[in-house]
Amino acid sequence: MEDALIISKFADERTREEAFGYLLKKYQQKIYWHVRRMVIDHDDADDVVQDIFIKVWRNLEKFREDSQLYTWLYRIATNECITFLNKKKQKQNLSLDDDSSAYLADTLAEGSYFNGDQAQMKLQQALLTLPEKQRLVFNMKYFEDLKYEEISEIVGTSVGALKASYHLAVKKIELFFASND
Amino acid sequence: MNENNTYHEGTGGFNLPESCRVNPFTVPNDYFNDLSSNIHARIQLDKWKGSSNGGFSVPQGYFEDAESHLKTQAKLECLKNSPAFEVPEDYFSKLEEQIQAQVKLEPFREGNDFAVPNGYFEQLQDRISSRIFEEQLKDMSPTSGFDVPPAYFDKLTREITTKVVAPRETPVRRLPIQQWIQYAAAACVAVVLGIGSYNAVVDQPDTAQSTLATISEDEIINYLSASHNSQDMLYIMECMEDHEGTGGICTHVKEEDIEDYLNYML
Repeated sequence: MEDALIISKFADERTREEAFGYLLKKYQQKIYWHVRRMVIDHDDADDVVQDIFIKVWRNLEKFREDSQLYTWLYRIATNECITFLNKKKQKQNLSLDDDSSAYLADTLAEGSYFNGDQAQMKLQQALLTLPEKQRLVFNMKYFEDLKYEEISEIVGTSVGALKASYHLAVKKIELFFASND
Repeated sequence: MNENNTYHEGTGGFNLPESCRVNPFTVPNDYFNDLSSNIHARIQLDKWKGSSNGGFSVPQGYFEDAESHLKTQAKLECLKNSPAFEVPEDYFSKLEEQIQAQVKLEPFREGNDFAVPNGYFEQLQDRISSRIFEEQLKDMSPTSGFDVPPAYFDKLTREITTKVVAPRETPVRRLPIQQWIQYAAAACVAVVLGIGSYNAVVDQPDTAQSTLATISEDEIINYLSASHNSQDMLYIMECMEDHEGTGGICTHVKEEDIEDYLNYML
């Protein structure tokens, strides 16, 4: 179903639940994987995804359509991920100024629901050495194949800065692979 | 007999008069100067007259190719007169405009108006090698490697739908609670204070209670309405609703507690 139709059906109370069902069907997997790649653990991702869609339910009426629906969803998802990760850092008594995601390394090592091979594990370990936002940009470009313009709308950073960030991320991963061979 | 005639007088041995000795004939100017070269030229011409082609020669194979050569020339002459080439429609009418447009663009042909960011070419090799690594990485690791439990997404849909839809089945009407609680709480406190004051006056004269008893109910109500806390109001509401076994509204609240609360709020 087209996004415009979902929004218009949602606006009508009689078809709101039906519209939300279509929205879930269309976007829940994309949002889940976007969140999962950030928070690593499946159970954490499950909680965050549910919170995201409850927020969507509450706020979709107010959506002004000044951006695409999926960029709006991604923006909510991204913000919820960052909020969740900050809370996790606080629980572990880590400074919020510490930008790296190294605290998730144990979660990755211990976590179930990972059926990747050695190369994929190494890539995930490399990604956890990156600053959070840089990791976020890398995930969106590399795994989700979003365009720089779309990522710019989601995170609110210029296209040029995103390109530089992605390029740096690739360089760091390359160095990680070279030094951990 | 010798003839006696005058014909031979003065002629000497030739018998001619002296006047006849002058040459009466003339020749063109420079005749004798040009005579020898003329005679040589005539001799040479006589020589050529004797040869078979009159002194001229032609290139080898000239006469064999002459026919085809003449035919080609004839075709070219025909083509010269017939319109063999065509031009698109309105070509000449648009030609001037096109030439003028080209002339205007001519100054821009020279030089390169495009610019590149600073350090672009220095960083280019680095960026290309990163792209190559990225492609290799995608071959090694195209996905994240993460997995989900079986039928997870179906369960997720149900859980989310339950959480968002269920609360709407029991519509809750919002009442203008704040104002109502204010007055109800104020009344409750006033009653308690009143009873407490009465008991104090009757049983134990207590300065604290007597102090409280001197405060009018209106002052208490005004104070509570100005400085209420919603949490406290809810607690008071719960107390007000729980009538059973309490012996009346707020009767289980100790006077000391009420006084402490009022002091705290100050």
